[in-house]
Amino acid sequence: MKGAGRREEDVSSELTKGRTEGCRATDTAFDHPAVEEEARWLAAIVESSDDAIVGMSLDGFIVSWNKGAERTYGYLADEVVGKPVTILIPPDRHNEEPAILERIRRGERVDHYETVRQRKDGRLVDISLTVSPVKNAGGTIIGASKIARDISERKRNEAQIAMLVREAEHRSKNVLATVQATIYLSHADTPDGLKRVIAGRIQALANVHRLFVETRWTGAKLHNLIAQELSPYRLEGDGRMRLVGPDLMIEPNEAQAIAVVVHELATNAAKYGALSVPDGRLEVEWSQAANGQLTLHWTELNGPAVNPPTRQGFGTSVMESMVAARKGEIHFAWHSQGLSCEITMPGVSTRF
Amino acid sequence: MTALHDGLIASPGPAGAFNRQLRVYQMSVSLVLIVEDEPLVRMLAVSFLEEAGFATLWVGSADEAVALLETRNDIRVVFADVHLPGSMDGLRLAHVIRNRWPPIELVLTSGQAKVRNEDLPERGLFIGKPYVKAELVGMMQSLVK
Repeated sequence: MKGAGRREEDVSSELTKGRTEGCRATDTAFDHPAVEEEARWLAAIVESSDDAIVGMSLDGFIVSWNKGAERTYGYLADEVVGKPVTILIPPDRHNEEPAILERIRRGERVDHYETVRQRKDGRLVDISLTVSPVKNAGGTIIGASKIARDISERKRNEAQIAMLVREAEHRSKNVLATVQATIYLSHADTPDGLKRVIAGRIQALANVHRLFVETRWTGAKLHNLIAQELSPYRLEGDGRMRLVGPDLMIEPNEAQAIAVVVHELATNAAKYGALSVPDGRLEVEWSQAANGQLTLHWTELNGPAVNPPTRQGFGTSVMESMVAARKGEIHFAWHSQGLSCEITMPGVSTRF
Repeated sequence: MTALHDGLIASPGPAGAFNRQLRVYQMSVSLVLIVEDEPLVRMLAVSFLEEAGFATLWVGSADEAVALLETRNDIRVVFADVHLPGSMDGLRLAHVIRNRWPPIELVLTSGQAKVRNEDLPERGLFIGKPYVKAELVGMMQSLVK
Protein backbone atom coordinates (compact mmCIF):
# COMPACT_ATOMS: atom_id res chain seq x y z
CA MET A 1 0.00 0.00 0.00
CA LYS A 2 1.52 3.25 -1.13
CA GLY A 3 1.72 6.19 1.15
CA ALA A 4 2.71 4.48 4.37
CA GLY A 5 6.30 5.72 4.10
CA ARG A 6 5.20 9.34 3.85
CA ARG A 7 2.83 9.28 6.74
CA GLU A 8 5.07 10.83 9.34
CA GLU A 9 5.76 14.01 7.35
CA ASP A 10 2.34 14.51 5.78
CA VAL A 11 -0.30 13.72 8.28
CA SER A 12 -1.69 15.80 11.05
CA SER A 13 -0.02 16.07 14.40
CA GLU A 14 -2.84 14.11 15.93
CA LEU A 15 -2.27 11.20 13.62
CA THR A 16 1.52 11.40 13.98
CA LYS A 17 1.08 11.29 17.70
CA GLY A 18 -1.23 8.31 17.34
CA ARG A 19 1.18 6.45 15.10
CA THR A 20 4.13 7.11 17.37
CA GLU A 21 2.25 5.89 20.40
CA GLY A 22 1.05 2.91 18.41
CA CYS A 23 4.58 2.02 17.36
CA ARG A 24 5.89 2.35 20.85
CA ALA A 25 3.14 0.19 22.29
CA THR A 26 3.75 -2.58 19.78
CA ASP A 27 7.52 -2.17 19.42
CA THR A 28 8.28 -5.63 20.62
CA ALA A 29 5.38 -7.09 18.68
CA PHE A 30 6.63 -5.68 15.35
CA ASP A 31 10.01 -7.28 15.96
CA HIS A 32 8.29 -10.63 15.95
CA PRO A 33 8.45 -12.18 12.45
CA ALA A 34 4.96 -13.74 12.72
CA VAL A 35 3.32 -10.39 13.44
CA GLU A 36 5.24 -8.74 10.64
CA GLU A 37 4.04 -11.52 8.36
CA GLU A 38 0.47 -10.91 9.44
CA ALA A 39 0.79 -7.18 8.79
CA ARG A 40 2.05 -7.95 5.31
CA TRP A 41 -0.90 -10.30 4.79
CA LEU A 42 -3.34 -7.60 5.76
CA ALA A 43 -1.62 -5.03 3.56
CA ALA A 44 -1.80 -7.43 0.60
CA ILE A 45 -5.50 -7.97 1.20
CA VAL A 46 -6.14 -4.24 1.25
CA GLU A 47 -4.01 -3.74 -1.83
CA SER A 48 -5.79 -6.42 -3.85
CA SER A 49 -9.29 -5.30 -2.92
CA ASP A 50 -11.53 -4.17 -5.75
CA ASP A 51 -12.99 -1.56 -3.43
CA ALA A 52 -11.25 1.78 -3.01
CA ILE A 53 -9.70 1.77 0.46
CA VAL A 54 -8.42 5.13 1.62
CA GLY A 55 -6.85 6.00 4.94
CA MET A 56 -7.68 9.47 6.18
CA SER A 57 -6.45 11.57 9.05
CA LEU A 58 -8.91 13.14 11.45
CA ASP A 59 -8.43 16.53 9.82
CA GLY A 60 -9.37 15.19 6.42
CA PHE A 61 -6.05 14.43 4.70
CA ILE A 62 -5.37 11.26 2.69
CA VAL A 63 -2.73 9.03 4.31
CA SER A 64 -3.03 5.83 2.28
CA TRP A 65 -4.44 4.83 -1.08
CA ASN A 66 -4.82 1.31 -2.52
CA LYS A 67 -5.02 0.04 -6.11
CA GLY A 68 -8.84 -0.05 -5.91
CA ALA A 69 -8.78 3.68 -5.13
CA GLU A 70 -6.56 4.25 -8.17
CA ARG A 71 -9.10 2.44 -10.35
CA THR A 72 -12.18 4.09 -8.83
CA TYR A 73 -10.89 7.67 -8.69
CA GLY A 74 -8.22 7.69 -11.41
CA TYR A 75 -5.46 9.20 -9.19
CA LEU A 76 -2.19 7.37 -8.42
CA ALA A 77 -1.23 7.15 -4.74
CA ASP A 78 1.66 9.60 -5.22
CA GLU A 79 -0.73 12.19 -6.61
CA VAL A 80 -3.09 12.24 -3.66
CA VAL A 81 -1.43 11.06 -0.44
CA GLY A 82 -1.11 14.14 1.75
CA LYS A 83 -3.85 16.00 -0.11
CA PRO A 84 -7.21 16.87 1.43
CA VAL A 85 -9.85 14.21 0.77
CA THR A 86 -12.15 16.97 -0.53
CA ILE A 87 -10.42 16.75 -3.94
CA LEU A 88 -12.62 13.68 -4.48
CA ILE A 89 -15.82 15.42 -3.52
CA PRO A 90 -17.90 17.26 -6.12
CA PRO A 91 -18.46 20.94 -5.20
CA ASP A 92 -22.15 20.46 -4.41
CA ARG A 93 -21.35 17.81 -1.79
CA HIS A 94 -18.57 19.51 0.17
CA ASN A 95 -20.84 19.75 3.21
CA GLU A 96 -20.84 15.94 3.50
CA GLU A 97 -17.26 15.62 4.71
CA PRO A 98 -17.41 17.65 7.96
CA ALA A 99 -20.47 15.63 9.01
CA ILE A 100 -18.68 12.34 8.29
CA LEU A 101 -15.57 13.49 10.22
CA GLU A 102 -17.70 14.57 13.14
CA ARG A 103 -19.21 11.10 13.41
CA ILE A 104 -15.78 9.47 13.17
CA ARG A 105 -14.44 11.68 15.99
CA ARG A 106 -17.33 10.42 18.11
CA GLY A 107 -16.22 6.87 17.31
CA GLU A 108 -19.20 6.12 15.07
CA ARG A 109 -19.23 4.29 11.78
CA VAL A 110 -20.88 5.41 8.56
CA ASP A 111 -22.31 2.39 6.78
CA HIS A 112 -23.08 2.02 3.07
CA TYR A 113 -23.66 5.67 2.51
CA GLU A 114 -24.58 6.16 -1.16
CA THR A 115 -23.06 9.25 -2.63
CA VAL A 116 -21.19 10.63 -5.63
CA ARG A 117 -17.48 11.34 -6.00
CA GLN A 118 -15.48 13.00 -8.72
CA ARG A 119 -12.70 11.23 -10.59
CA LYS A 120 -9.46 12.82 -11.68
CA ASP A 121 -10.87 13.14 -15.22
CA GLY A 122 -13.87 15.04 -13.82
CA ARG A 123 -16.37 12.24 -14.36
CA LEU A 124 -18.72 11.53 -11.48
CA VAL A 125 -18.82 8.06 -9.98
CA ASP A 126 -21.63 6.60 -7.83
CA ILE A 127 -20.21 4.95 -4.73
CA SER A 128 -21.36 3.19 -1.61
CA LEU A 129 -19.16 4.46 1.20
CA THR A 130 -18.34 2.90 4.54
CA VAL A 131 -16.24 4.98 6.92
CA SER A 132 -14.86 3.51 10.16
CA PRO A 133 -12.70 5.04 12.86
CA VAL A 134 -9.12 3.77 13.11
CA LYS A 135 -7.75 3.54 16.66
CA ASN A 136 -4.24 3.19 17.93
CA ALA A 137 -3.23 0.55 20.45
CA GLY A 138 -4.24 2.92 23.22
CA GLY A 139 -7.78 3.13 21.85
CA THR A 140 -7.46 6.71 20.66
CA ILE A 141 -9.12 7.51 17.34
CA ILE A 142 -6.37 8.64 15.00
CA GLY A 143 -8.09 8.58 11.63
CA ALA A 144 -10.57 6.78 9.44
CA SER A 145 -10.67 4.09 6.82
CA LYS A 146 -12.90 4.94 3.90
CA ILE A 147 -14.02 2.00 1.82
CA ALA A 148 -15.84 2.93 -1.35
CA ARG A 149 -17.52 0.53 -3.73
CA ASP A 150 -18.15 1.69 -7.26
CA ILE A 151 -21.91 1.24 -7.73
CA SER A 152 -22.20 3.00 -11.10
CA GLU A 153 -23.25 -0.21 -12.80
CA ARG A 154 -25.90 -0.94 -10.20
CA LYS A 155 -27.18 2.63 -10.55
CA ARG A 156 -27.33 2.21 -14.32
CA ASN A 157 -29.23 -1.06 -13.89
CA GLU A 158 -31.62 0.57 -11.44
CA ALA A 159 -32.27 3.42 -13.86
CA GLN A 160 -32.89 0.91 -16.64
CA ILE A 161 -35.28 -1.10 -14.48
CA ALA A 162 -37.16 2.07 -13.56
CA MET A 163 -37.38 2.93 -17.25
CA LEU A 164 -38.67 -0.56 -18.09
CA VAL A 165 -41.26 -0.37 -15.32
CA ARG A 166 -42.51 2.95 -16.70
CA GLU A 167 -42.57 1.48 -20.20
CA ALA A 168 -44.42 -1.63 -19.02
CA GLU A 169 -46.96 0.52 -17.22
CA HIS A 170 -47.41 2.67 -20.27
CA ARG A 171 -47.83 -0.33 -22.58
CA SER A 172 -50.22 -2.20 -20.33
CA LYS A 173 -52.40 0.89 -19.84
CA ASN A 174 -52.49 1.39 -23.58
CA VAL A 175 -53.42 -2.24 -24.12
CA LEU A 176 -56.21 -1.85 -21.55
CA ALA A 177 -57.40 1.28 -23.34
CA THR A 178 -57.47 -0.69 -26.59
CA VAL A 179 -59.44 -3.51 -24.95
CA GLN A 180 -61.81 -0.96 -23.45
CA ALA A 181 -62.36 0.56 -26.89
CA THR A 182 -62.96 -2.88 -28.38
CA ILE A 183 -65.59 -3.67 -25.76
CA TYR A 184 -67.31 -0.32 -26.00
CA LEU A 185 -67.40 -0.21 -29.79
CA SER A 186 -68.45 -3.81 -30.48
CA HIS A 187 -72.06 -4.62 -31.23
CA ALA A 188 -73.99 -7.86 -31.71
CA ASP A 189 -77.60 -8.97 -31.66
CA THR A 190 -77.30 -11.23 -28.61
CA PRO A 191 -75.23 -11.14 -25.42
CA ASP A 192 -73.49 -14.38 -26.43
CA GLY A 193 -72.80 -13.01 -29.87
CA LEU A 194 -71.32 -9.89 -28.30
CA LYS A 195 -69.08 -11.95 -26.03
CA ARG A 196 -67.83 -13.96 -28.99
CA VAL A 197 -67.11 -10.85 -31.05
CA ILE A 198 -65.21 -9.16 -28.23
CA ALA A 199 -63.27 -12.31 -27.30
CA GLY A 200 -62.23 -12.79 -30.94
CA ARG A 201 -61.01 -9.21 -31.25
CA ILE A 202 -59.08 -9.33 -28.00
CA GLN A 203 -57.55 -12.64 -29.15
CA ALA A 204 -56.45 -10.96 -32.39
CA LEU A 205 -54.69 -8.24 -30.40
CA ALA A 206 -53.11 -10.87 -28.15
CA ASN A 207 -51.90 -12.83 -31.19
CA VAL A 208 -50.10 -9.92 -32.72
CA HIS A 209 -48.56 -9.04 -29.34
CA ARG A 210 -47.21 -12.57 -29.11
CA LEU A 211 -45.52 -12.12 -32.47
CA PHE A 212 -44.00 -8.84 -31.24
CA VAL A 213 -42.64 -10.53 -28.14
CA GLU A 214 -40.96 -13.18 -30.31
CA THR A 215 -39.03 -10.44 -32.12
CA ARG A 216 -38.42 -8.42 -28.95
CA TRP A 217 -40.98 -5.89 -30.07
CA THR A 218 -39.30 -5.03 -33.36
CA GLY A 219 -42.19 -6.27 -35.47
CA ALA A 220 -43.88 -9.33 -36.92
CA LYS A 221 -43.55 -11.37 -40.08
CA LEU A 222 -46.45 -10.54 -42.37
CA HIS A 223 -46.99 -14.17 -43.39
CA ASN A 224 -47.12 -15.39 -39.78
CA LEU A 225 -49.39 -12.58 -38.79
CA ILE A 226 -51.95 -13.38 -41.51
CA ALA A 227 -51.65 -17.15 -41.01
CA GLN A 228 -52.25 -16.70 -37.29
CA GLU A 229 -55.44 -14.71 -37.80
CA LEU A 230 -56.71 -17.28 -40.28
CA SER A 231 -55.74 -20.33 -38.21
CA PRO A 232 -59.15 -20.71 -36.49
CA TYR A 233 -60.75 -21.25 -39.91
CA ARG A 234 -58.07 -23.51 -41.30
CA LEU A 235 -58.53 -27.26 -41.23
CA GLU A 236 -55.81 -29.90 -41.30
CA GLY A 237 -54.38 -30.15 -44.85
CA ASP A 238 -56.69 -27.35 -45.86
CA GLY A 239 -56.11 -26.26 -49.43
CA ARG A 240 -58.75 -23.59 -49.50
CA MET A 241 -56.50 -20.76 -48.34
CA ARG A 242 -53.55 -19.45 -50.28
CA LEU A 243 -51.11 -16.94 -48.82
CA VAL A 244 -48.71 -15.49 -51.36
CA GLY A 245 -46.15 -12.79 -50.85
CA PRO A 246 -42.55 -11.94 -50.01
CA ASP A 247 -41.10 -12.57 -46.56
CA LEU A 248 -41.58 -9.17 -44.88
CA MET A 249 -40.99 -8.10 -41.31
CA ILE A 250 -43.54 -5.37 -40.48
CA GLU A 251 -43.07 -2.83 -37.69
CA PRO A 252 -45.45 -3.01 -34.70
CA ASN A 253 -47.84 -0.17 -35.63
CA GLU A 254 -48.42 -1.40 -39.16
CA ALA A 255 -48.48 -5.02 -37.99
CA GLN A 256 -51.20 -4.29 -35.46
CA ALA A 257 -53.28 -2.47 -38.06
CA ILE A 258 -52.96 -5.37 -40.50
CA ALA A 259 -53.72 -7.96 -37.80
CA VAL A 260 -56.92 -6.16 -36.81
CA VAL A 261 -58.00 -5.77 -40.44
CA VAL A 262 -57.28 -9.42 -41.28
CA HIS A 263 -59.14 -10.52 -38.17
CA GLU A 264 -62.21 -8.51 -39.17
CA LEU A 265 -62.07 -9.80 -42.75
CA ALA A 266 -61.63 -13.39 -41.57
CA THR A 267 -64.53 -13.31 -39.08
CA ASN A 268 -66.69 -11.69 -41.72
CA ALA A 269 -65.73 -14.36 -44.28
CA ALA A 270 -66.46 -17.12 -41.76
CA LYS A 271 -69.87 -15.67 -41.02
CA TYR A 272 -71.11 -14.52 -44.40
CA GLY A 273 -68.39 -15.05 -47.00
CA ALA A 274 -66.25 -17.70 -48.64
CA LEU A 275 -65.18 -19.31 -45.34
CA SER A 276 -68.84 -19.94 -44.44
CA VAL A 277 -69.29 -22.62 -47.14
CA PRO A 278 -67.26 -25.84 -47.69
CA ASP A 279 -66.20 -24.99 -51.26
CA GLY A 280 -65.25 -21.40 -50.57
CA ARG A 281 -61.63 -20.36 -51.09
CA LEU A 282 -59.55 -17.46 -49.95
CA GLU A 283 -56.47 -15.87 -51.49
CA VAL A 284 -54.35 -13.33 -49.70
CA GLU A 285 -51.57 -11.78 -51.75
CA TRP A 286 -49.22 -8.99 -50.85
CA SER A 287 -46.32 -7.10 -52.36
CA GLN A 288 -44.12 -4.17 -51.54
CA ALA A 289 -43.16 -1.47 -54.04
CA ALA A 290 -39.70 0.09 -54.19
CA ASN A 291 -41.00 3.19 -52.37
CA GLY A 292 -42.12 1.03 -49.44
CA GLN A 293 -45.82 1.00 -50.27
CA LEU A 294 -47.43 -2.23 -49.18
CA THR A 295 -50.39 -3.59 -51.14
CA LEU A 296 -52.49 -6.46 -49.84
CA HIS A 297 -55.28 -8.16 -51.76
CA TRP A 298 -57.90 -10.23 -50.01
CA THR A 299 -59.98 -12.23 -52.47
CA GLU A 300 -62.81 -14.59 -51.57
CA LEU A 301 -63.78 -17.16 -54.24
CA ASN A 302 -66.59 -19.69 -54.60
CA GLY A 303 -68.43 -18.08 -51.75
CA PRO A 304 -72.04 -16.93 -51.56
CA ALA A 305 -72.92 -13.69 -53.27
CA VAL A 306 -72.42 -10.81 -50.86
CA ASN A 307 -73.89 -7.33 -50.62
CA PRO A 308 -72.45 -4.20 -49.04
CA PRO A 309 -73.39 -3.94 -45.36
CA THR A 310 -76.50 -1.87 -44.69
CA ARG A 311 -74.96 -0.07 -41.74
CA GLN A 312 -71.38 0.71 -40.81
CA GLY A 313 -70.50 -1.50 -37.84
CA PHE A 314 -67.38 -1.72 -35.76
CA GLY A 315 -65.75 -4.08 -38.27
CA THR A 316 -65.81 -1.67 -41.19
CA SER A 317 -65.04 1.42 -39.17
CA VAL A 318 -62.17 -0.19 -37.30
CA MET A 319 -60.65 -1.40 -40.54
CA GLU A 320 -60.95 2.02 -42.14
CA SER A 321 -59.68 3.73 -39.03
CA MET A 322 -56.71 1.39 -38.61
CA VAL A 323 -55.64 1.83 -42.21
CA ALA A 324 -56.28 5.59 -42.24
CA ALA A 325 -54.12 5.95 -39.12
CA ARG A 326 -51.21 4.57 -41.15
CA LYS A 327 -52.08 6.94 -44.04
CA GLY A 328 -53.29 4.04 -46.12
CA GLU A 329 -56.44 3.23 -48.03
CA ILE A 330 -58.86 0.33 -47.98
CA HIS A 331 -61.37 -0.47 -50.72
CA PHE A 332 -64.07 -3.12 -50.66
CA ALA A 333 -65.82 -4.77 -53.59
CA TRP A 334 -68.76 -7.06 -53.03
CA HIS A 335 -69.27 -9.49 -55.86
CA SER A 336 -70.97 -12.77 -56.70
CA GLN A 337 -68.27 -15.07 -55.26
CA GLY A 338 -67.54 -13.10 -52.12
CA LEU A 339 -65.72 -10.03 -50.89
CA SER A 340 -62.61 -8.51 -52.39
CA CYS A 341 -60.57 -6.02 -50.52
CA GLU A 342 -57.49 -4.02 -51.41
CA ILE A 343 -55.37 -2.35 -48.75
CA THR A 344 -52.49 -0.02 -49.51
CA MET A 345 -50.17 1.51 -46.93
CA PRO A 346 -47.41 3.92 -47.91
CA GLY A 347 -43.89 3.87 -46.53
CA VAL A 348 -44.17 0.67 -44.52
CA SER A 349 -40.77 0.05 -42.97
CA THR A 350 -39.85 -3.55 -43.28
CA ARG A 351 -36.75 -5.47 -42.41
CA PHE A 352 -35.66 -8.82 -43.73
CA MET B 1 -64.43 28.28 -15.68
CA THR B 2 -66.52 31.46 -15.55
CA ALA B 3 -63.63 33.37 -14.09
CA LEU B 4 -61.40 32.05 -16.79
CA HIS B 5 -63.63 33.27 -19.60
CA ASP B 6 -64.10 36.63 -17.90
CA GLY B 7 -60.35 36.95 -17.72
CA LEU B 8 -59.92 36.20 -21.37
CA ILE B 9 -62.69 38.52 -22.50
CA ALA B 10 -61.32 41.35 -20.39
CA SER B 11 -57.84 40.97 -21.80
CA PRO B 12 -56.81 43.44 -24.51
CA GLY B 13 -55.99 42.40 -28.05
CA PRO B 14 -57.99 39.55 -29.49
CA ALA B 15 -60.85 40.09 -27.05
CA GLY B 16 -63.27 41.33 -29.70
CA ALA B 17 -62.61 38.43 -32.00
CA PHE B 18 -62.77 36.03 -29.12
CA ASN B 19 -66.07 37.45 -27.95
CA ARG B 20 -67.57 36.82 -31.33
CA GLN B 21 -66.18 33.31 -31.35
CA LEU B 22 -67.48 32.69 -27.88
CA ARG B 23 -70.99 33.62 -28.92
CA VAL B 24 -70.79 31.15 -31.78
CA TYR B 25 -69.61 28.47 -29.38
CA GLN B 26 -72.42 29.11 -26.98
CA MET B 27 -74.96 28.68 -29.75
CA SER B 28 -73.45 25.60 -31.36
CA VAL B 29 -71.76 22.36 -30.54
CA SER B 30 -68.22 22.55 -29.12
CA LEU B 31 -65.60 21.15 -31.43
CA VAL B 32 -62.91 18.91 -29.93
CA LEU B 33 -59.73 18.02 -31.82
CA ILE B 34 -58.53 14.56 -30.80
CA VAL B 35 -54.81 13.92 -31.27
CA GLU B 36 -54.24 10.19 -30.83
CA ASP B 37 -52.22 7.74 -32.90
CA GLU B 38 -53.85 4.55 -31.62
CA PRO B 39 -56.90 4.05 -33.89
CA LEU B 40 -59.03 2.02 -31.46
CA VAL B 41 -58.48 4.44 -28.62
CA ARG B 42 -59.19 7.33 -30.93
CA MET B 43 -62.45 5.72 -32.07
CA LEU B 44 -63.43 5.34 -28.44
CA ALA B 45 -62.73 9.02 -27.72
CA VAL B 46 -64.77 10.00 -30.79
CA SER B 47 -67.70 7.85 -29.61
CA PHE B 48 -67.57 9.10 -26.02
CA LEU B 49 -67.51 12.75 -27.06
CA GLU B 50 -69.99 12.59 -29.92
CA GLU B 51 -72.48 10.69 -27.78
CA ALA B 52 -72.16 13.52 -25.26
CA GLY B 53 -72.98 16.13 -27.89
CA PHE B 54 -69.51 17.31 -28.90
CA ALA B 55 -68.34 17.54 -32.47
CA THR B 56 -64.95 15.94 -33.11
CA LEU B 57 -62.06 16.06 -35.52
CA TRP B 58 -59.04 13.81 -35.24
CA VAL B 59 -55.43 13.62 -36.33
CA GLY B 60 -52.66 11.15 -35.47
CA SER B 61 -49.76 13.48 -34.69
CA ALA B 62 -48.91 16.84 -33.15
CA ASP B 63 -47.59 18.17 -36.46
CA GLU B 64 -50.93 17.43 -38.13
CA ALA B 65 -52.73 19.09 -35.22
CA VAL B 66 -50.72 22.31 -35.65
CA ALA B 67 -51.32 22.27 -39.42
CA LEU B 68 -55.06 21.89 -38.82
CA LEU B 69 -55.19 24.61 -36.16
CA GLU B 70 -53.54 26.98 -38.63
CA THR B 71 -56.45 26.52 -41.04
CA ARG B 72 -59.45 26.84 -38.73
CA ASN B 73 -60.58 28.86 -35.75
CA ASP B 74 -63.55 26.83 -34.48
CA ILE B 75 -61.63 24.30 -32.35
CA ARG B 76 -62.61 24.74 -28.73
CA VAL B 77 -60.65 21.96 -26.99
CA VAL B 78 -57.62 19.89 -27.98
CA PHE B 79 -57.55 16.42 -26.43
CA ALA B 80 -54.07 14.96 -27.00
CA ASP B 81 -52.19 11.80 -26.09
CA VAL B 82 -48.81 12.57 -24.52
CA HIS B 83 -47.02 9.92 -26.59
CA LEU B 84 -47.25 10.85 -30.23
CA PRO B 85 -45.14 10.07 -33.27
CA GLY B 86 -43.33 12.87 -35.09
CA SER B 87 -41.35 15.91 -34.04
CA MET B 88 -43.48 16.83 -31.00
CA ASP B 89 -45.08 14.90 -28.20
CA GLY B 90 -48.44 15.83 -26.71
CA LEU B 91 -46.93 17.95 -23.93
CA ARG B 92 -44.96 20.09 -26.36
CA LEU B 93 -48.02 20.40 -28.56
CA ALA B 94 -50.02 21.60 -25.55
CA HIS B 95 -47.44 24.30 -24.80
CA VAL B 96 -47.33 25.38 -28.44
CA ILE B 97 -51.12 25.68 -28.45
CA ARG B 98 -51.17 27.58 -25.15
CA ASN B 99 -48.76 30.15 -26.69
CA ARG B 100 -50.17 30.40 -30.19
CA TRP B 101 -53.89 29.87 -29.54
CA PRO B 102 -54.44 30.89 -25.90
CA PRO B 103 -58.25 30.49 -25.85
CA ILE B 104 -58.15 26.78 -26.75
CA GLU B 105 -58.67 24.47 -23.78
CA LEU B 106 -56.30 21.53 -23.34
CA VAL B 107 -56.74 18.00 -22.06
CA LEU B 108 -53.85 15.53 -22.09
CA THR B 109 -53.99 11.78 -21.68
CA SER B 110 -51.43 9.02 -21.26
CA GLY B 111 -50.94 5.47 -20.09
CA GLN B 112 -48.27 6.82 -17.77
CA ALA B 113 -49.61 7.19 -14.25
CA LYS B 114 -49.49 10.94 -14.11
CA VAL B 115 -48.01 13.86 -15.92
CA ARG B 116 -46.47 16.25 -13.42
CA ASN B 117 -48.61 19.30 -12.85
CA GLU B 118 -45.70 21.64 -13.46
CA ASP B 119 -45.27 20.08 -16.92
CA LEU B 120 -48.83 20.89 -17.93
CA PRO B 121 -49.51 24.23 -19.60
CA GLU B 122 -51.68 26.76 -17.84
CA ARG B 123 -55.33 25.56 -17.58
CA GLY B 124 -54.25 22.17 -18.96
CA LEU B 125 -55.96 19.09 -17.52
CA PHE B 126 -54.86 15.47 -17.42
CA ILE B 127 -56.84 12.24 -17.62
CA GLY B 128 -55.16 8.80 -17.32
CA LYS B 129 -55.73 5.92 -19.72
CA PRO B 130 -57.92 3.99 -19.73
CA TYR B 131 -60.54 6.62 -18.89
CA VAL B 132 -64.25 6.22 -18.31
CA LYS B 133 -66.78 8.11 -20.38
CA ALA B 134 -68.30 10.11 -17.50
CA GLU B 135 -64.90 11.39 -16.38
CA LEU B 136 -63.84 12.50 -19.85
CA VAL B 137 -67.18 14.05 -20.72
CA GLY B 138 -67.39 15.81 -17.33
CA MET B 139 -63.93 17.26 -17.85
CA MET B 140 -64.78 18.51 -21.34
CA GLN B 141 -68.08 20.00 -20.21
CA SER B 142 -66.40 21.87 -17.37
CA LEU B 143 -63.97 23.38 -19.90
CA VAL B 144 -66.54 24.59 -22.41
CA LYS B 145 -69.20 25.73 -19.94
